[in-house]
Parts: sequence; C-alpha cells; structure tokens
Amino acid sequence: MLSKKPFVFALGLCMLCSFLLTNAATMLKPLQQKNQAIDQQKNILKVLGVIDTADGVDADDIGHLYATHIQQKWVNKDGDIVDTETNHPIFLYMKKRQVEAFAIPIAGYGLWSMLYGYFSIEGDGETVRGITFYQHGETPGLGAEVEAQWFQDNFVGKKIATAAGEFTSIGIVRGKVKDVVPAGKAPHYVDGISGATITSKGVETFLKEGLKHYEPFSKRLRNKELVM
Amino acid sequence: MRWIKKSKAFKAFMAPMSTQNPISVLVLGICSALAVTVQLKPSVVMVLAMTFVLTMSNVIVSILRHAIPKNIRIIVELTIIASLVILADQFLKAYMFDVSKQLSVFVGLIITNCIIMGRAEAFAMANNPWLSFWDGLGNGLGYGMILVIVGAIREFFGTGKLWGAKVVPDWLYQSGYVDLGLMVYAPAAFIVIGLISWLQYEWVIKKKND
Repeated sequence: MLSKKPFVFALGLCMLCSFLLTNAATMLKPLQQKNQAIDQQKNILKVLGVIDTADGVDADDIGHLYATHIQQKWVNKDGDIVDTETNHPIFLYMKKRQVEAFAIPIAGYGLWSMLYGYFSIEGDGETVRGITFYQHGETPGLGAEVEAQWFQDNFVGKKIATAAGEFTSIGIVRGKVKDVVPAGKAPHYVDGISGATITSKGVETFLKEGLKHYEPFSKRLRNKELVM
Repeated sequence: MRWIKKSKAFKAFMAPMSTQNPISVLVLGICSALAVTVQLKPSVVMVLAMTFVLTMSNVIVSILRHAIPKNIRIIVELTIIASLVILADQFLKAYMFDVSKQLSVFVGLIITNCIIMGRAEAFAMANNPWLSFWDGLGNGLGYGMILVIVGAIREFFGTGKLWGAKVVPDWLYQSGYVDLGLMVYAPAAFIVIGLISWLQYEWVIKKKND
C-alpha cells in the first residue's frame, strides 16, 4: 500500500517554499530594478566622462546628473535622431544645445562570454571619448583586462574615421601600436591585451559592427550638418 | 570555559575548522573554491552567502527531521537548500548589487555545493537543531577559512592586489617583478588547496594521530 504521507509532505513543502520565494522576489524587485537602472546610468555617465570614476558617487547624484545631462533617443537608418524606439539607442550628452558627445551600447562575443558595454564619441563624430564594459565573463587577468584602466584609456583620443572622413573603426593590435602600426595609421589602432587575442579580436569585431549602425549619424556630425 | 570546550556544540563547531575541514580534509565543495577565489572580495561574500545557507538549511532540516518521510528526504533537503539559495541571491541583488554581479552564477551554484547536502544528510538528519546550528556555522566558516586564504594568495600573487587595492609597490615592478599569471587560472586554486591540505595533514592531523 502506497503511503500518502510523502505526497502530502512534498506538496506542503513546495507550497510553503514557493509562497516565501514569490513574496521575497516581489518585495525586492523594485530595489533590484533601481539598482540595474542606476548601474546603467552610472556606466553611461562614466563613458561620457561626466563622472570621473564610478566609486564615491551616490545613487541620488547619479540619477540627478543623468537627468540633467543625458537625453536618450534613437537613431534610424538615415542617421536621424528620433523619439520612436528603433534597434539603436543613443545617449546624447548635450551642452548649450550642441552635441558635446554621444554614447552607444556595444555588445558581442569575446572568448567565453558576451561582453556588454558602452562606447562614446565626441561631438565631432570621429574622436573616441571613452569605452567601458559592465558585464562579461572573460578570464580574470587576461580577457577581463578589458575592464582595466590602461586598456580603456588606450581608446581615448583615437579616431574612428580618416581625415578624409572614411570610416575605419578602431583596430586592436597584437602588442603595442607603436611597434606594429605605421605612424600614419596609428590613430585608428589601440594596444591589445597580451594573452587575450581572441577577446581583443571579439571586441574589435563587435565594436566595428556596432559603430556601423551609427555611422550615418556620425558622418553628419563630421560634416557639421544640423542633427537636432 | 572548560564546560564550553567539553560541550558537544563546541565540538560540532570546531571540528570542521581543523580536523574535519570540509575542503582541505574532506575535499568537498571544491568546485566553488576553484571558481570564486581569484580575488579576495568575492571569496568573502561567497563565504557569507554559503554560511547563511548552510546554517539555515541545517537548522530547518534538523527541526523537520522526524517529519520528513525517509524515501523523499534527499529531494526535500534539496528543496529547502534551493529556496534558501534563491533567497540569498535575491537579497544580494537588492542590497549588494556590485558584488552580486561579480559572483554572477556562483551564488546560484551554492545549491549544488556538496558540503550543504552532505551536512544536511550526515549531520542534521541525526542531530538536534542546536547542534546542527553549530555544525552548519562551523562548516561554513571552515570552508570560508580556506576560501579566504586561497583568495588572498591568488589575488596577491596573480595581480599584486588585495581586496582590489594595489599592495605590490611600483618600484618592485620596475625592477623586474612580474605577476604570476598562473594564479588567475583555476589550476592555481588546485595547487594552493593541495598545499594547504598537505600542510594541515603534516601539522595537525599527524600530530593528533601520534
């Protein structure tokens, strides 16, 4: 004769556990979503250089800074800034009604994982202002060096287009730029991470892919056309 | 003091710190010890989450030990553990967002940590809640002790930092010192844990047996 007790016990336990977890998850959700939103805003402010380093700036300040300086819009195929959602969000940092700089999300495969981050370009449409990563699962000490200050500073001041206005993106070389790239092309390349060639290649590839979608918009900035 | 040292609870608490250490002696829960010990900070947070889950699951399983039907006890233990882990994960995401991002999947993987199942099955099912509480706390901290040591060694030799702050001075790097790249890989944790295990055998367990 099959005993009823295990079934009753299992059912009771499952009900109790799911009740507790549902409650906890529902109650904590607003806090978690707030954390995520702040984290995103923090990263955008960081990549645009509005805040120096993410540490030591409290949540209220981040919300305030973000609200005053950043406008989230979208870019369509022709490079127009629009208010309706497309696949390509853009974060505009405005100063005196001019585009001081803009940030775009970047994402793609490295070696082990998807990397997610932001990339920002000056209002001239060609000079790199910053790069940052907020989520990845690359090897600490090797691929994870994409988070390191030296690697990110590496990009600052580089150009995504030639003087003639032709799109080049930013290449990541093996070793040091000054050793392997002729001086004329150096503005379009950055130093790679030793021991993390695949991560570097991945970043190079998805950066180029990402930038391509915003190229019509960047081109307008380079040609000093009215964009807003 | 003497009655404390003689009490069963004290023994349940102290044994996993030395002669019954879950990692270096029983070699349980190695998976997470390899994964999160690249740096000190995630190691410590992992230890806190793990100790919370282990202690609570031990106490709950122990309270229910006469009610749990024997034929489904493993899955019941697992349900309790999984619920506690999800709870810990949700709290981390709400209150320690940065650290929870760093630990990512490893908090969830506490569910599969053999120490927790092991203690629930071997200790909590057979002992009262009071003893189980101390056994859980002791095992959590015994596990933690090793994680913190390994985390500190790997972060120090692997990146020249401790708790994210530079400790190896720049002049040392300029005079030719290089970080040990091996330390940031999982095999380094095997080597360090192996060394700890051996030292503990030589110094503690051998002496006790003599």
